[in-house]
Amino acid sequence: MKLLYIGILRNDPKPAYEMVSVKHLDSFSFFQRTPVSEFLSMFAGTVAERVAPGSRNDIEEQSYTFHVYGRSEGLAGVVISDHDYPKLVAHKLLSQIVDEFLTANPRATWATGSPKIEMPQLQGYIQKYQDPKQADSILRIQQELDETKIVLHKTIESVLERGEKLDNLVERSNALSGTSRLFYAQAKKQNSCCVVM
Amino acid sequence: MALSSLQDRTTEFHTLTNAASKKLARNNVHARLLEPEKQPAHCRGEFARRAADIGRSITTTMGKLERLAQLAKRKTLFDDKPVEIAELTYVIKQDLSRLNQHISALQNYVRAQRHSSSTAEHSNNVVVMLQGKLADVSVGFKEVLEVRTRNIQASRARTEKFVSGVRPQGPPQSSLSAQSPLYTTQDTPRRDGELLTLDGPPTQQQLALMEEGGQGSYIAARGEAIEAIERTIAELGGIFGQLAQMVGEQREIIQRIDHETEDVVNNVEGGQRELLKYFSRVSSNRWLLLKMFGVLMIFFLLWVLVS
Repeated sequence: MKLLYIGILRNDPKPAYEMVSVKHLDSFSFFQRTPVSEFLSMFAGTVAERVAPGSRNDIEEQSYTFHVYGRSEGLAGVVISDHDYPKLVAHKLLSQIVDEFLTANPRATWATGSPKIEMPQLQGYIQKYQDPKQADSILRIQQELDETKIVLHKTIESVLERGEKLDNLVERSNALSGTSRLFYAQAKKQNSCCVVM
Repeated sequence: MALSSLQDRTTEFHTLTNAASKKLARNNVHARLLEPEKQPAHCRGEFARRAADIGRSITTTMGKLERLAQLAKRKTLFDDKPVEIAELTYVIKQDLSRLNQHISALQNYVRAQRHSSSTAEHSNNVVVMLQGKLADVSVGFKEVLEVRTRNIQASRARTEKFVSGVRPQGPPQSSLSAQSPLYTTQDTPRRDGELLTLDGPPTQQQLALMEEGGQGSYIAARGEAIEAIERTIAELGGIFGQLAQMVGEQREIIQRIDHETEDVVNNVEGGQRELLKYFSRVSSNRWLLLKMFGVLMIFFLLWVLVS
């Protein structure tokens, strides 16, 4: 499950303009990286142009999935990942970065022209969200709950074994009790019988 | 009125210090107050100006917030003016973040200045008051957003009722949208508890809600994920109950085992006592046996000797 690209594009005056983006292309060989990154940016632009404002879309294409979230202010966030990446996590990431971008840069700075905006947290995010299980709280909670359930199942099995052993012990202690009673009775008999002298 | 009280205080403070400096102008020690007073007067002017700026912006933002509240309260079905509301929301959010930055800059400025303790206290009080006002505005903003989301859901439910034609997805959608407010409004108070600090716009969750008012599927998917988590937790609760029951049954078994082992111990002790008694009897008997046998031998010898 990989994240390949996170970007925020302006899509209000078409054509779409990429304002800030970060790519993680370590899975491709060195020579493939440039064409792949161009392809990603181009596709991100096309997808951002086609999204309706105020909606989210997930588009599957060849071996990649494009998650796009268009805002009514005229920009769209795009996350490109492979097919296995869970959509909820991608969209949660999209909402978060688009909100951060909007609070950090009011509309006036990027509405016109070709601004180049820096957002260093994106690099941190793309690293962190490579493993969606750790990054997204809902998935992590689900995973921890599943682990807990497994541990509890093992516990119940051990408790069942313990029950068997305890039953064993009960039987043995029953037998022991009978034997000791016989022993006592015989000892008593020994004493009372031979009152010879 | 808070604005005017800010400025009033500053001029009052000016007159007070002027009077104090005039009274203590004779003393050499207090003459020192005169020279550095020029500088703090200048700095305090700067501080007062910035504080007044921030106060003014806060009042304008409050005015915008009131307009937004008015807009959000309208419950008409179609004449909603979402564009204006969205714009206002956006602008207010920008203002809040800007004001927060200004106030923190002002606070740093205050800390960097070397004032006498009373001016420092006054500046700190002013900064705290501005922060409090900003928090009030943010709280009001959040409430307005909550009202707005509730109205959106209500209006959507009403539209579903009116436009209920041949729609096979109608009922599930309306049930989803009825459930999603449960989940979303349940989410927001929890999140808002953490986010209600004085840092910036604490309304990220609310605004996300606002923006996604049109798409129920994402929220519904998150709702389902949360439902799954709830179900897992309920299962875990059941498992814990079963575990407790099994351990309780085993406790009874253990009590039986305890009882039996006590019996065994008693019996074995009794047997040991008896055996000891026997042994003592037998060993003491030997003494007696020897004595009696010796007595018999003597009698026998006597008989033999006599006859």
